[in-house]
Amino acid sequence: MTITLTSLDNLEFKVDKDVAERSVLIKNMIEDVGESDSPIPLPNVTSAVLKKVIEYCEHHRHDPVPVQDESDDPRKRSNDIEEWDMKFMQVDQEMLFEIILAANYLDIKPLLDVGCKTVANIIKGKTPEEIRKVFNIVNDFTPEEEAQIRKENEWAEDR
Amino acid sequence: ITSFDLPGSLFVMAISNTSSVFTSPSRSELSSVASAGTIAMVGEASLDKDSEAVAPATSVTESHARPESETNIVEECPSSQHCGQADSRPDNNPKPSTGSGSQQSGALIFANSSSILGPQTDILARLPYEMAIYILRHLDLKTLATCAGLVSRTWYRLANDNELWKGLYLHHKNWRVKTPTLTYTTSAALTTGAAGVTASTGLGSSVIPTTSLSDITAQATQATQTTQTTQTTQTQEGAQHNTNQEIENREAQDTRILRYDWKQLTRERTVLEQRWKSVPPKTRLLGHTDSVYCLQFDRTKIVTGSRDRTIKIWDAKTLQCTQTLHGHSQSVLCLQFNDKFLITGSSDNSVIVWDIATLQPISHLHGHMAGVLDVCFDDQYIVSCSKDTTIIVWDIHTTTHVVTLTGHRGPVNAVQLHKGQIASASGDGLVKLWDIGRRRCIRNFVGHERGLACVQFDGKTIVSGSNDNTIRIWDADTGVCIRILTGHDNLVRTLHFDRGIIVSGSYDYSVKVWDAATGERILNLDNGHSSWVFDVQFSMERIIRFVPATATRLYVLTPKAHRFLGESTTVSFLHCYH
Repeated sequence: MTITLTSLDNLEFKVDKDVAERSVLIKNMIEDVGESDSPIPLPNVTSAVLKKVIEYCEHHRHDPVPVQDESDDPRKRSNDIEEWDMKFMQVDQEMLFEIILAANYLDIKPLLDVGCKTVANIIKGKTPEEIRKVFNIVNDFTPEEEAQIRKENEWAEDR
Repeated sequence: ITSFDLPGSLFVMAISNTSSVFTSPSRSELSSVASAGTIAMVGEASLDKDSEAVAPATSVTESHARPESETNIVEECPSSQHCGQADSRPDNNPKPSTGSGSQQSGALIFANSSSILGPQTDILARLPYEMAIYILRHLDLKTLATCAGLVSRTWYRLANDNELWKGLYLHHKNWRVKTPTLTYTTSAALTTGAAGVTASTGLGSSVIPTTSLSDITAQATQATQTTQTTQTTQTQEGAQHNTNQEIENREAQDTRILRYDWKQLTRERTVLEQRWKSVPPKTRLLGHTDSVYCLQFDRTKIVTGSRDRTIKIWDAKTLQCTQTLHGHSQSVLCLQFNDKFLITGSSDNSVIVWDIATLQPISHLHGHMAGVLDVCFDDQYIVSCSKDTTIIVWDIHTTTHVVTLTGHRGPVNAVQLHKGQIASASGDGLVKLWDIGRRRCIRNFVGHERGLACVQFDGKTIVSGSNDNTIRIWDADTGVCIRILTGHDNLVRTLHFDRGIIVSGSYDYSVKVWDAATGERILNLDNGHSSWVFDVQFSMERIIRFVPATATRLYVLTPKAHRFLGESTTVSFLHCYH
């Protein structure tokens, strides 16, 4: 069974039902609407992003449905991103940002996790200045504030 | 050995005997502790290193042609270093730095997680607050505290999110929070944004929400030094932050959930742990002319009893001996004090009750036929136990004899009193539970294979330490042995049990810290001891780790580097023996 998804910019994407249902949002919509041929509108997702999301869902269509566990420590859950996902996430930051938002909107937890882990991995191991460079962030601290914050967090340095 | 329960302070003091000469802390040890106080400018150091590594490219390579029909999803960069290194202009054409092997295939090189390319954007700042936090939840403590929070004001707010730190804290193995007694401010105060929830937790000052950035520039003192009754300074900036504060305030109001400053808690816990692992003795209190057998301390003083027959009072801050009490004709083996009395037991078979304020003896209690090995008291009774196998209960107000409890078949080495019940530990290998009202032993705790040296009792649980090298945890009501803690290699000479944590000192030269609920050994303090640990005491907040070594010397370890250590390096040596 094929589902049609319409992006913000009105492009239609035909996907298999089981692929589409990797998105809990879409899955619920299908359940509510019933079997229908009318396309499902996704006004919050542009076609470029939707294309990527569909690519992800297609690759992972056979994955077991993830068990929701809010109390999980994200640090503990394996921090390794599998190779395909890694390549998949080699996108520019704007797209990375959009993917995360879309994964959240569409409620695709594994994709959201991968996106967030990707960002976290970018941050890890970097100094504040390096982080700023990567994300093009302006340092809006005064030197006094910076010094104060460093001092406040001295205790964490020795770990 | 009685426990001195001081809500809000974690001291560990242990004493021992030995005739070996203690070597004073070496210069390098001293200096290594001192250096803990320097600010590690990690950020700058590595930045410099980095700049050296990446030389700016001399040639600019044009990005490969992209299919026109697609939007700008994927860009290429021939380099393997992070692009955009030289300047931070958002750029559609990434500036390549020195790289090896440009890949022609069209795929991005993803080296070191640092070569996300193309238009750079502050992802964290643009995402909804909760999602940014979710990303940060993947970071470890150090990155969160020392890097993420320093990037920008927005990142600072995110990195200091209270729930974020709550997760960090609670997911740390071994770290728990005991729900303390609460005092609430009025709901009026809460709704105005002043979350003045105070609590007498073990970690005193951590109950207040973090202050906002503006406080840093506004105040001279460190923002993290909170007082018990603070207000949160709600600034107008950072509406997001305010909203979360309001939500949290309402939560606290509605559900009476205690609001902790989780980052502060994490900080204190981390520092506590670091300090446990550090340093050899920093301070020596010299004065007794023979072995120190017992001690107790509170915030202002340390009281020691010695084989030299005297009791000495030391100022906890200056570490000077302020008083020496004479009264016993033989070694002082045990002592306990509170805000009214000091009670000491001796090899001279007697117990002396002193007025703690005047330090004058009030009463001499005679009754034992051999040395008094332990003593313990509360508002009603004084309990003493002796080598003569008996336990004597005295009325504290009249200092008269109430009852002599017999039953043990060996010296009674330790007693602890709790609400009319006594737990005793004897060389006969038994723990006995006695009821004073009924004047008899109501339960035996069988299990240890050799004599017992120490016991702790809080009404529900009994903890005992033995010559069989183990510590046993018992259910006081049923007599069942709940858990056996192994790990010591020699006699467990002393215990202190409080709020689910057991600290034990042993003749194997170590002090160990255990979680009573799980039996897990949390910490092992092995370094710095060169002799038997005779006495251990702790309470929950600061760490004074205390290492004893020689006959006359009491060592007060003070890992509280920022204050005490500075003073202690100039401690005066009062008296040197042989």
